[in-house]
Amino acid sequence: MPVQYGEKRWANDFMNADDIWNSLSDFPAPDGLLSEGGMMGDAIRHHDWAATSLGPMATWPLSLKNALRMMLTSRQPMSLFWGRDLIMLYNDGYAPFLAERHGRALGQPFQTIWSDVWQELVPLVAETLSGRGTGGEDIRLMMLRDGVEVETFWTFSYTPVHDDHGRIAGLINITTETTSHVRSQAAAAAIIEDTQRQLEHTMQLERQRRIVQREMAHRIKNILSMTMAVVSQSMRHATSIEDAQETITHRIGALAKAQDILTDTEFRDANVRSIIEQVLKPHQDHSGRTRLDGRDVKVSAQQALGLSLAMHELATNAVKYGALSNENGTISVRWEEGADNTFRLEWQEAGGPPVVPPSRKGFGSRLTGRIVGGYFNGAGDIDYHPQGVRYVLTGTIERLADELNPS
Amino acid sequence: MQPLKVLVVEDEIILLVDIVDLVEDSGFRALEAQNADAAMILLQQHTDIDVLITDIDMPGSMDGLELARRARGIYPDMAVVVISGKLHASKNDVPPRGRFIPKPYPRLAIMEVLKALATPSYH
Repeated sequence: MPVQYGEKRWANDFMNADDIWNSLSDFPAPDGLLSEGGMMGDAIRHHDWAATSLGPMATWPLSLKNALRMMLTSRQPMSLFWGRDLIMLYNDGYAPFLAERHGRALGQPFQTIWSDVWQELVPLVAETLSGRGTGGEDIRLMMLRDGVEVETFWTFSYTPVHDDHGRIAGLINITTETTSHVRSQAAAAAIIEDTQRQLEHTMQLERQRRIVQREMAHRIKNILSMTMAVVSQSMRHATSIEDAQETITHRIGALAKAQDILTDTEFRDANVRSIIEQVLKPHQDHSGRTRLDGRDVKVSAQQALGLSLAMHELATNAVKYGALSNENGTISVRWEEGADNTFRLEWQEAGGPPVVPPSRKGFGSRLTGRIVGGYFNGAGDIDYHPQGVRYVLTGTIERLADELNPS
Repeated sequence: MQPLKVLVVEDEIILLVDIVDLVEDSGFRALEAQNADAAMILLQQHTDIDVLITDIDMPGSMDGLELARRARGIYPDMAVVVISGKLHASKNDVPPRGRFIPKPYPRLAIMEVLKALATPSYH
């Protein structure tokens, strides 16, 4: 069966290289120069080389023809630059890289074709023509395509090519455009980075959620501990089960109200006026009976809780025995913040029945005295003056805002 | 024999007052401090403190665990009871031979620990 040179043969019986050579021995020697080489082979054969510095094809050195034939039969994109002008020749695989330059590039000098990147390539060309192959991976070249400057990336190697006398006469460029590969790598890196950022953000939110959860659990336990302490203290000082039941109910109610203030202020600083207003609200049956006098003063959450409990004790006693136990009594509460965060609050009752000091000291007096005094690093003193109970709290204000911005 | 002397450290004053009452009701002597720094001063002034009962989370220059470490540094034999609202106390949280009582603290637990400490065979 006659076989054309270059035709694909299926030969499973080739055992070694010799078999292959033997099977090829009946081919005629190729006719003249370059009967192969695809589209660019044709273009090169029909080009008017006489008009270039390479001269007519028939005069080309054997070394150029060999290099050209190697290039044209290769599937690897290649271009060949030969002679003093570095005249360009290239194969089918290389043609797409030239974009609109393809067609006018053949037979033109390197510097003319690649004028836009020549400056960047000069060092590599010089290095190669001096006998050392060069190249690079994913080298960035700004290149004009369809009249627009675009960013391109190339992996290539420049290899010197010698003439028949052993002198370097040009270079062969074996190359692959890696622009799309580099872009997809960059895109993948961006996606990974973005995903990592999102993951980091999610983890951050999760950490915050856990902190809030732990903080809430801590507060719940704290309030339960305080409730237990209030119950045990109320029991300890109660005169009867009924008395215990009543005071415990009231005090837990006061704790709950104080808790409302803390929730409203998000457990930060609370306003003294709102604390007192909330405690006295149920007792303000007609206007003027309770009078609050003081500017906006903020105290820490713990102090707010303590103050709320003390105000509640005083109000409860006023309803039972003091200024709120008749129709005419009045309560005046004044407070002020002095220099260096000092604080003074005064509760003055008037117009109630004559005051008789209690026969025994209960948890209530400890609350208004030792306990709220402790919250304010000061003292709470109650005076059972016959004309009206007078309570004075002095101490120092603590604020979250002060801790956050120490002056 | 003198009753045991107990130093109670708790920043929440209602709890402090209640624990001090509990200690005194159980027949012991009590000292109180609202933070670890105040407690350190008491530890230096009173050389006869037998038991330290302390909260962990407190404002000030150190927390209850650091206070317990320093107290043991001065008095290696001091009994230590740590009270905390933490979910779980790890071994690192509680000093050696120390007791941990979670919040909200059961009164009975504190009383039992104190009674056990008062019993001579405890050591």
